[in-house]
Amino acid sequence: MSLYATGLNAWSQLDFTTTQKDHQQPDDIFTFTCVLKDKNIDYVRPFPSYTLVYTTTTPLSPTHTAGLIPKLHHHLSTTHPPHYHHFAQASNDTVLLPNHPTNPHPQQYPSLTTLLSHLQPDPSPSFTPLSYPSLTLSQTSPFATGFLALSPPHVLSWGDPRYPPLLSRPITPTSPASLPSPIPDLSSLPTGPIVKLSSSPSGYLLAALTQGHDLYAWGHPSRCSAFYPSLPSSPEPVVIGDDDDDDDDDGKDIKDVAVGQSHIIVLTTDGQIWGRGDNSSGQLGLGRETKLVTEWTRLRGEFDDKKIKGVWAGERNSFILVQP
Amino acid sequence: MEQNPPGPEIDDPLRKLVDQGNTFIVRYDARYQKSAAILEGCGEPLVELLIRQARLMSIATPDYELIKRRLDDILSASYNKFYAYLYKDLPPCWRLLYTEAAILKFWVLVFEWARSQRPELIREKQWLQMAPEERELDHPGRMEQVRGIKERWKKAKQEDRQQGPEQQQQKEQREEELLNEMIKTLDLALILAGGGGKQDEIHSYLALLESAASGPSKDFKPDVVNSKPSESERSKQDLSLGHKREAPPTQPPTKRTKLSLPPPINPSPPSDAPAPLDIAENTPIDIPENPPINTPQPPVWSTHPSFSPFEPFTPPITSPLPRLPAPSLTTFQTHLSHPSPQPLILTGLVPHWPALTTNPWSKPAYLLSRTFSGRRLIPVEIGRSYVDEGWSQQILPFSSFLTTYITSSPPSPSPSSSSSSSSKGYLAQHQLFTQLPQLRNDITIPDLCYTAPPKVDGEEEELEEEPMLNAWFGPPGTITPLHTDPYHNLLVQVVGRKYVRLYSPEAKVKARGEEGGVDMGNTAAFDVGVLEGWDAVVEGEDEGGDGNGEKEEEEEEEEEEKEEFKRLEYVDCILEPGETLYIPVGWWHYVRGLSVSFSVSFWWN
Repeated sequence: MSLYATGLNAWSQLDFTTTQKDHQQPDDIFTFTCVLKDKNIDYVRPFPSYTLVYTTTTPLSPTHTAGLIPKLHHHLSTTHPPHYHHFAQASNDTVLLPNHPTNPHPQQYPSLTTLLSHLQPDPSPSFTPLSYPSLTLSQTSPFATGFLALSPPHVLSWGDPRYPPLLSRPITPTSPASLPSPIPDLSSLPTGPIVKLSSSPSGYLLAALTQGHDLYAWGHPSRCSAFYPSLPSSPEPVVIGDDDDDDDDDGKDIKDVAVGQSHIIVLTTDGQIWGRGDNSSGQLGLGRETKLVTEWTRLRGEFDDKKIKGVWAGERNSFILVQP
Repeated sequence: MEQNPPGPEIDDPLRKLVDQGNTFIVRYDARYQKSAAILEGCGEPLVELLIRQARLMSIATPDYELIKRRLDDILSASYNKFYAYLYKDLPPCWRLLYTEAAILKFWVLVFEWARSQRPELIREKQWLQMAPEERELDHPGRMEQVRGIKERWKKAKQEDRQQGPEQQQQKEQREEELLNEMIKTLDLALILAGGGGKQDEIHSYLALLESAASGPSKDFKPDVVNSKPSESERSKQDLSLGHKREAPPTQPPTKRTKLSLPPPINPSPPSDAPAPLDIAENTPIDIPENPPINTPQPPVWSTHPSFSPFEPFTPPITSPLPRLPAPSLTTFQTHLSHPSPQPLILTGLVPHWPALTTNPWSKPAYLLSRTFSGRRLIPVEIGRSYVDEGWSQQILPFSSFLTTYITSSPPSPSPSSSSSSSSKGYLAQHQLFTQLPQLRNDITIPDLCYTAPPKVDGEEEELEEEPMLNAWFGPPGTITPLHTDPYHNLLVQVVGRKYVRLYSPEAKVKARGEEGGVDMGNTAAFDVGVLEGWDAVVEGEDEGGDGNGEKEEEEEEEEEEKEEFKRLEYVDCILEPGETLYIPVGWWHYVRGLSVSFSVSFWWN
């Protein structure tokens, strides 16, 4: 397996090989470059300052690490590996612990610090996390001011009420912005239920993928206008490229999607990579000169004509996993 | 480490700036230690990234492009936090991190700017930084690197000599861009991050930068620097600027003008010219080179044109407020001591303000001279009213604000044809005077703000000891919709005229509710200008209900409410330059600029 990466590398988070650091600082990577080869790679977890690479056989311990791990993350990973493995954190510090084998109900904390102190042997009795006992979340995705979660057949959203487009659902006294509630636009879709959600913990652009390979994107238009002009403020299907096999113009079928802080990349079912948005850190792999693309653009590289397993995005970088 | 060439104390602001930057970088560790405890809240990765940039700036050959990109990464990460949190919940570490990264970026730009103008300043810096570097680092490629630097210097020197007029022009353009970027970097830290507690420091850098940019730093003739040209001399100089400026015999012409001053508008129209100033984009405005600072020579600005007093629309006054000539503190205190003090116009309260006399805010040229030739940035509200669809905020250079929104605004023939209203720009409710302290000296806080006004339970927000100052500067037709403030207010009109309508707290003004998670309860549901027919109905305003039947019912209800609102009692006035309106806490007020208008509000309690 080969992992290709491009984009922000301020903390050497794309560098899985070097341990010896130059006295100058690492530059960003501006074209998709093979950064790791291993027999088994299953998925990637990009954090703002570091990257973890996993195999499914050892889900609780990453097989490769690159970059600088913040102390709080390190602390959680050593004291509560299952929590560390599942937690999601939004830019406003809120932490979501979804249900997992050792955590029956999703819980929400105002910050990692409060989570860690709550996990202490004798936590302060004055604090209780928000708990959602009636919810089973199969997928969670943090955005800057809240969370998206998959609770089949629903896609739920909750968070800061100042950004209604991110929630894309009615805000009423019984379903306030701060509590998980379904997005009506993402139920009963023509090509089946949503199977994948993607958003960046510091971003205002959200995406969802249906079973039938349709991509939906939405977000906060004014926060995204610089890199995604005329982004819809509620979920709408996205048309990318030409559909080769029939006359309708619904574009290519999408197999995977990854959203960064200000860019988005997709993998089509015919194995192509497309993307759009900010490239000022090289996050689309379009070289040093291209700072931005505002149209869907085919991203090319060594991975062309190879079997691509999936795509991931960090805040300002992107990853492509290629099978041998 | 002070190895600057010996010599008499000369006025060389650029060298001073570069020296200060060097000291900043050399002593960065001590500086960081002072903020470390706060910055910790941003997490180690970002803090490490910040200190790393400062450290890399101290080596002999910093990669400034990469350092700038990294500082931008930090700026973008902290800026992101400003939006992710509610304003009141934002941990202070993010404002500080933003400001620290902005200041470091400022120094990178200063070094680039200085290198372009006077390479020797940066070469000295490099030599100073190289010696210890060589001792410390046992780097095999070190000598190679040193040789590389020497080569580059030689090349740079040759290039300096070979520069043709075209390269010279490019160089000057690049320097101007760098200058604007330096100002932008610091102004954004002031506006977006509130200066992160480093406001005074930022102001001192801007002052130093301004003297480095306008001071004839290469003349090294203190007598020339300090003497102010007489009025006639100055206009002569300005006139010659359109052509090649004549250089003093000791200097090559290419190294003369750093801040290319635009030629004056000629001829100067009389100050009471009825037509709006014809200052189109790219048409330069006369910027006096050495504006008098706190000086008793008022005639300097008298030849410069004022803003047009043109009023496209003047609403009728139906229930005029009383005017009271400058009351004493005791008289005013007596007025306030009534159980419910009434609003009132105070005349002659601020006749001594420099803003109204020697340092006239009514003159674009004066304001430009106080804003780094219009380069300083200000936040501007774009759109008719903050409750309208499409309303937004922009941060732009003061000069662009003047040319785009103030001096070029076309007079609308009738009040209701407000098609151009969507592009109105209003510098509104901005704490301009903490951002631009040089304008703060043109006004004084009225003594009346030190009275003890009555308290209204639950309505007020505690202020610090000092009143809160806000600037309100815009073209004709700007609107602040009917709203209440949690403070007592003295609104001083400095330039132009404003219409103000007030409703008492007892009047049953229907307020808006929560909108997009923001409590709009201090803003009225109805638009005075629209109801009176002064403004067109704004699209997207009337959202209505979901069902059709419901909609009709709602519309009927709304009509009734409108009628009710129209019947409410109010008082109104047109505030003239030099007049002050007292607005008691809790009073609803609607404010409308009639001409180009500049006011200052003082909130106190």
